[in-house]
Amino acid sequence: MNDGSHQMENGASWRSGPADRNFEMPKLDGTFATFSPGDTMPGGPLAPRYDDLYDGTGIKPVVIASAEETSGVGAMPASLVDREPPAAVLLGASDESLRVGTERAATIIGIESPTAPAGDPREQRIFVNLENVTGGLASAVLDVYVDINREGDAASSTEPVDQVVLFGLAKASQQDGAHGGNGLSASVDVTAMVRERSNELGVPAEKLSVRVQQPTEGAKPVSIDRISVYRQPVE
Amino acid sequence: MRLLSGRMKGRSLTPALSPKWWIIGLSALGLFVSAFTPRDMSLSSLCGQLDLGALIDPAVMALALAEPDVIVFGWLVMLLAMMPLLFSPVLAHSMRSSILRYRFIAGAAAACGYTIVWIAAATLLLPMAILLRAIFDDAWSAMAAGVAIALTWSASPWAQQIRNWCHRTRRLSARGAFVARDNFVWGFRSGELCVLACWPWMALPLLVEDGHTIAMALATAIAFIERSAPARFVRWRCPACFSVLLVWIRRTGSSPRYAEVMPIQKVRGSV
Repeated sequence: MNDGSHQMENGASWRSGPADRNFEMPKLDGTFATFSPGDTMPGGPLAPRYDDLYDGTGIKPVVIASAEETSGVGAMPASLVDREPPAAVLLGASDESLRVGTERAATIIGIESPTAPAGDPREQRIFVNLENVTGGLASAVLDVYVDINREGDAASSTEPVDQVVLFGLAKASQQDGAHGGNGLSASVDVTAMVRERSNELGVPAEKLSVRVQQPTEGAKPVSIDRISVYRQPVE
Repeated sequence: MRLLSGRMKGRSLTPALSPKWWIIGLSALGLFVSAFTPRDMSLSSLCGQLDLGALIDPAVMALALAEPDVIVFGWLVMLLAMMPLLFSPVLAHSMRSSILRYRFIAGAAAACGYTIVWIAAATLLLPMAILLRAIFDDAWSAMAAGVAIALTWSASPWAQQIRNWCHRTRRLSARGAFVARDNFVWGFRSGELCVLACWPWMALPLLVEDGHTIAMALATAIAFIERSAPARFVRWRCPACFSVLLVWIRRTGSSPRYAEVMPIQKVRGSV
């Protein structure tokens, strides 16, 4: 928000979202009041006003933006963009569900239009989506390993590309809960990894090998309905 | 480490594929055709022709049902008017789950599976409507009974269980030979659950002779609201259409928004 080169999404669907539920805050009388993300934007009734933590300490603050800019009183440096973000395009998905415990569960995903090995880093972002993760754990931690898959190659990545924490998994997996038993979904940005490995191997990413593992010893297994790969153009 | 929870995390990754104008257009076409269909070709008129005595007389029944094309036409028009809105979440999942060049196949396969179930449902819903209409002397009494049945069913734990199942999606192939199979099964299973959840609302317009088209539009809206209501604990409860309406009124009307009841207080030293 403090960087003038950044763009902050401010489209109608974001301001009034999420589409299928409301944000609620408890009131003093125990009932709930609703609010939308748009209420927290500058000029909105819930726009934050931050405390000045340097006031009275004698410490000179490091100024990256003026107080006017950060307080919401003045225009903030980042620009607000009303248009919707570019639509993400599905490139491929796993053919089977995965049951993930402390052992790595793996799948290979064929990609519809392979990404070029050397592309403009601003052109597109690649995401791996873990769709409809369900399980009996109150919260699950998943290490996600992604690599470009080539015939005869053993997957080489030893470090997870990301780790996701799914709070409220058990509740979201209940059929009579707000998620209708569909569990939780999470996305992992693998753009840098795909570009790096693609350049290293000198081949486009035609198939991605995705492995998922729970790092916690003895954790109950969780199910992942489908793992998909999306591409989203960057404006 | 990143913290992620809820479906909203994938919001920006979900393509906006809902072909809502097609859905609305098809439904409007069905309602338009229904509104201009001659009265003697409407299914509700057929249901009103028979009394209890006629139902046990095969000769009268055969005479009344002598024109199957009227029945087929009437039912298809009803499906065209009422089905697209209920089918929209099923279609959205199908198209979202397939890569671009398989989307037509996915949508068509899901539509086939879904429609087959609803066509088959006529074999149960039509006799039910004919029986209900024959029991009561006038159309208003039959309609009141139909509404009572629909509200009772809607409030029941069985209907809530089925509505909960309606929200569960299933894994669909993104491409390849299994796209058509997966989506057909998805459409078929969704159709089964929709019929089970919405059958009394679907049968209700068959009991309304005057204002058949308006009854179809209202029944569609109610069935869609019930179908879209979030999954809830299974027990007897206020009919879903009423509870959704109450929640909506509470959230948009009388209930104050957070900023109105808890104004942000300026903290000492804040800039």
